[in-house]
Amino acid sequence: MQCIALALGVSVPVVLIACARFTRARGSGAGYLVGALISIAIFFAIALILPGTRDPVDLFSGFLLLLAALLFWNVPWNLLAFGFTLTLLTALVKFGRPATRSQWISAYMQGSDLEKFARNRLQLLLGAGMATIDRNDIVATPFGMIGANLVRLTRLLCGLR
Amino acid sequence: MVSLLVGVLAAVLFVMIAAPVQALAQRRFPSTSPVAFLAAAAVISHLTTSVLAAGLVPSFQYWTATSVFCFGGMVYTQMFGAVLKSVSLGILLDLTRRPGSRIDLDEISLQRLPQVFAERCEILIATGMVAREQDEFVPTEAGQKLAGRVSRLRRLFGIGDSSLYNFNSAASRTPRGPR
Repeated sequence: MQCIALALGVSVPVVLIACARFTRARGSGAGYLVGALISIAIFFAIALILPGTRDPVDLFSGFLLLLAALLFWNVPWNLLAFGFTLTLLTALVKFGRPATRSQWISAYMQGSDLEKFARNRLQLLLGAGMATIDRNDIVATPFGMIGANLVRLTRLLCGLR
Repeated sequence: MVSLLVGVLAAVLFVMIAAPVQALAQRRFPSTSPVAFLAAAAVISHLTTSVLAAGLVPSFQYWTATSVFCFGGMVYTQMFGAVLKSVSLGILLDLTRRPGSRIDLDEISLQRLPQVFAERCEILIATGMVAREQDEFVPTEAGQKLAGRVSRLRRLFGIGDSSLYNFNSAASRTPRGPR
């Protein structure tokens, strides 16, 4: 099953391209999730179809290899879909002429303002219950305080200041 | 089973090497990409444990150990990426440092985000993707090439280029007000 997982892991981009053509997932995050679930389903379908008994360690190890490949491909996918710096560059190129900083930001936001961008990024915190809105203030919830401490701990574990 | 354990040990070694190397590299080589040091730590820990296990463990199975190491390493890499430059988590950290753990939304929109934009613009200038001409910015030839490749890949994978997260809740669309 390790060989099958490796082959499936290498072909994740092909599955994602097929998903983009034949499924109607809403949003880039959902598109990747559909592709990942299809790859996992193919892996287990092959495990069931292949003749002979499966070694549990081999099956588990193959599954981990596939998950690792899905996490690996998720990095460039997120860069393409949500990459802040890359999208700034493509927005400037699309603008087609020299731009001032405010024109550049406006091109990046496709006509929206910075408040929409702020609200979009804050949705992650609001949706997770880590922050709430009180009048015009963003307020951290107790869960948000725990989340912030976890982020600090993770930064420490990653050697980041 | 022993090979699975070797994989766990390799992942633990990776985390133990990656954190101090990263902290040191940030001081010594601030212009080098942090990902390069992460990759170096991964190669060192993987090679070290694989060579040692191959010599010391008779029943060592390379791919079984590697599967555990790759999975653990990628989870760590994803965590690293999430806390490295995330705008949302940066706001959360800032929020919890403030009195009353609150920030005015206007302060985020009018001060913090323009600063984040400015930092990212500087990265593009420093990497030679964008050139500054007095008060204006123009993509360089390298920047245009990269943008062209990115656009082609986005079309191929059916990815839009708004760079906004896909939230479909009402809160992301409604005007400001109490929640």
